[in-house]
Amino acid sequence: MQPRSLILTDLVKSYDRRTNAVDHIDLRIEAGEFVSFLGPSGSGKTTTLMMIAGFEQPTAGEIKLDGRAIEQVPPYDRNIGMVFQNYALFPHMTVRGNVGYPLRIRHMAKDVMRQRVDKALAMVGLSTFGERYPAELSGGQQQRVALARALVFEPGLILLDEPLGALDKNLREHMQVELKRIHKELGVTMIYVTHDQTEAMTMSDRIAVFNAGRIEHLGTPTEVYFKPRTRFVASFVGDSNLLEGTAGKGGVVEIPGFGPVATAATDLAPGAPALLLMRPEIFEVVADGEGASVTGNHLEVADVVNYGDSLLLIGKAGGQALRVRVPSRVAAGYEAGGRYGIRWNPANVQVVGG
Amino acid sequence: MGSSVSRLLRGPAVLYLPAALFLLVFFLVPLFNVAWMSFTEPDTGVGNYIAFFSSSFDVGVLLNTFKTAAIVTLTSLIFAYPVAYVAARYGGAFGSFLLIVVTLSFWTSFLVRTYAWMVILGVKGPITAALVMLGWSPPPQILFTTFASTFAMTHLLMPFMILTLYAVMRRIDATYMRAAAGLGAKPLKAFTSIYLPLSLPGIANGSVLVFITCLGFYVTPVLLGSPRDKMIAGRIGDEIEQMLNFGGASAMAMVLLVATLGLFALYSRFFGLDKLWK
Amino acid sequence: MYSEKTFPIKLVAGLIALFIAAPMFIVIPMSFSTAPSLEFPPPGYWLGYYQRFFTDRNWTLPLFNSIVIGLGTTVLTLALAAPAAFALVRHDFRGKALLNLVLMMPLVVPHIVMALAYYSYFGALRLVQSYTGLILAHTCLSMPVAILILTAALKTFDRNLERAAANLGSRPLTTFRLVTLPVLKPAFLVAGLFVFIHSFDETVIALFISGRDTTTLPRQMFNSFLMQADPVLSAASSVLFTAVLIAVAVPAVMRAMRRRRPTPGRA
Ligand SMILES: Nc1ncnc2c1ncn2[C@@H]1O[C@H](COP(=O)(O)OP(=O)(O)OP(=O)(O)O)[C@@H](O)[C@H]1O
Ligand SMILES: [Mg+2]
Repeated sequence: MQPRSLILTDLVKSYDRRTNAVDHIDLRIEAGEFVSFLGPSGSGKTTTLMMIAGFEQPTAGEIKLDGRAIEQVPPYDRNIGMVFQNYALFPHMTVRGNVGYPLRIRHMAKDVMRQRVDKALAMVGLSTFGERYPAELSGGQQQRVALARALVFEPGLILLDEPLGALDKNLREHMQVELKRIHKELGVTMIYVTHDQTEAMTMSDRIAVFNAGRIEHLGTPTEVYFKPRTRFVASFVGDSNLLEGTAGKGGVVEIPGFGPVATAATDLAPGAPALLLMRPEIFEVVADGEGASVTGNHLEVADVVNYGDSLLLIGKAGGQALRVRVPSRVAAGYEAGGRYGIRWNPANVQVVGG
Repeated sequence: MGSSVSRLLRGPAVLYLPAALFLLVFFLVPLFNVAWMSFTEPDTGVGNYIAFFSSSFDVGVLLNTFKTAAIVTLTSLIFAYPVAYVAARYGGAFGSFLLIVVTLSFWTSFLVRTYAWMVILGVKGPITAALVMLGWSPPPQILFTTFASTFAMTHLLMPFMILTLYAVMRRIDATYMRAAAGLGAKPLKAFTSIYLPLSLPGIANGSVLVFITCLGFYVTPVLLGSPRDKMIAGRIGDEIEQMLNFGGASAMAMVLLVATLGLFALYSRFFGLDKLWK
Repeated sequence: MYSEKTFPIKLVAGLIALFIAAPMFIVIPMSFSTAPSLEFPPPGYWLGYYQRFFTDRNWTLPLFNSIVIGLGTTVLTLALAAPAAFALVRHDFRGKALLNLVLMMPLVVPHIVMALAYYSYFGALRLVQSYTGLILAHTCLSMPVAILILTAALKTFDRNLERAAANLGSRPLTTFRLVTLPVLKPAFLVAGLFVFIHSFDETVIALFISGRDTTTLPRQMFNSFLMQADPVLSAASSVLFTAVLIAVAVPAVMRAMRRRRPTPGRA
């Protein structure tokens, strides 16, 4: 199928004419891309998707599919596949009936139809389930039927609204891999809504981080994680320490109580306020007396959380709340009330919005 | 004009207008006509109402109707409550059995069930036979008494009461009772302090609906009841069929209608009309 | 541990249920009785009253009439109630509360009042003793039941199904035909069944406005009550009861069978 490109220009949607559920969104998605919409509940992800699919009329702005404006095109003529959060399988039709529905609507010949339904079912691994009704399938199987139904008419753009939200963790991870495989195999453009950041990180070519109806950051997973544009993005994606300070000379930022922190930034105006992002995993804990704590910072640990593969030390350093993540070691022996030297590589310190 | 019509046709009006107009023409207008007749047949004025309220016989019928409705409501509530309670609280096969019996009975025509009581309470029926065997001679007249019609109405409306109670009780969380027991309440105490108050909406729903149905009951009192202790619906029927007194019948119908709607309005003020059926 | 003696209350509930079911234990044996009048226990058994019920024109005509009127009422009620239910659930409009009130009102107006109303109103319109009059009257009285069942079903209907259908390429009418209607089919069937039974059982209005050629079964039964002794009544009652039994039991059995339907994949 031919992958399709999508351009959203200054898109606005207001349900109540006072607040904007979607607030001036600009987005350009290339043909064949896998883009995630990541954001908290109520941030406008579904609303955006509904406008793309044609179920909601934009209050203002433009939606272009393959360069053609489609606001006036009714949903049934848009040829966009969609997987609904609750799957929306037709309960009175078998799996074959569901998957064959779009082909039947398009008056396809019986044998072509059978072939394509078979192919779609094989793709999602449900070849032997064709005669079952949706109520006779598990959640994961229903999800795959919904996916097959969205693929079978070769739409070129597929929208997925939290498709894995209802599945347990193992099944979810399995389906993430499956989805990526299908994306690669078919080369279609996919827009994937989620509020699970790990999911967005592992699957996407690019992530659009939504907050209060706006896209706060659009970028690759690496960019969003390591170079967040805004404070919101920095705190929403991943675990973070955000430290406020004042820029000095040569990329150094003075954090009250904590001391000067060197950064890789080159364009900081001296005297301007600056927000630093230090991910918990950039720190190293060093034994006192090793003298390695170049900055002389110490972490006073108030709490230790064991994640199994890592430990999270929660405490304060120089009066600033700090979270430090260290690999689990049998012999580490960190405990609440302890005081440990910490160090980090300045290259890993990010200036938010820089 | 033309444009407003076409706008109307594109909105929901085209969906609801047929039903609305139908009920206007075939329900509201006939009903209004009854109100009209009560003030105009045979003479204009409130004569029919004065005649009704100054006839000690008719006032007696009205009072008897309310009294019977109250007795039926109370009795059927007392008998319905344990059945609904067991079905809702303990469920299982026994609960399903109870519900099936009740549902079957609910859907069986009033006439059929009234007929059954006519047989059971009749002169050649099992009750009379049993009384004779116990040496009660001559056996008492049971059929065509106020007792017979009240008894049968209670039986007829009990399934309705049970299903209404059950609809509310089904949603009472069993954990409340367990929590109460966990806090040291004896079963009876837990019931009176937790379950009974929570089932009150069901009691209110069922009682009001049964009471209202009973006020307008026609078939059973006419067939099984005493000709001396009439209820108002039967009285209206007589007035139409035997007297052809439409004015008088209309006035009585209006009294019955106002009582029914008034009760219902009062009730839905407190409980909400739409909560009734959910 | 929490425990409570449940036996006594279950016994009470069981006895009351027996009392509720009791009449049918009388009526059904009665219908096979040879006694010419109401007598229990029956002196002997035969099928004569069933034969009379299904061959005597005094009974077959009312039965036929009731079926015709019931079917007419069902069709007309659903035709009016279904669109109204869609309007009530899916649209907001001025006068919605009033409409709701009017649609529910037939539920609480006593039948004797409506009997009087129709007796005089249909008298003027020359609709007394006609199928039309009875169907119109029964349709009004059945409207609330149909509206309640249909709106309840529509409220739980997942709008995403319609969206999905549109998304897959079907136009609104096709979506309605292939998705909305089939998904709501059980609700329509239930509503239709309730309306039919409602009309079929309705006695009071039929007593006043049916007659001669349009006499309904309940009216015929009522009249033979007044004459006291027609034992065909017991056969008629048993037939009606059996019909209800089937109506209640068949959907339950069908549901049970559907759940057990074997659904092997085509390996
Ligand atoms: N049909 C509607 N009518 C009115 N307001 C709506 C409607 N749908 C959504 N909203 C509002 O628009 C805002 C954005 O909602 P939206 O469903 O797009 O959020 P979301 O990002 O998909 O959230 P979630 O992660 O919870 O699904 C919310 O404030 C919501 O309350
Ligand atoms: Mg959403």
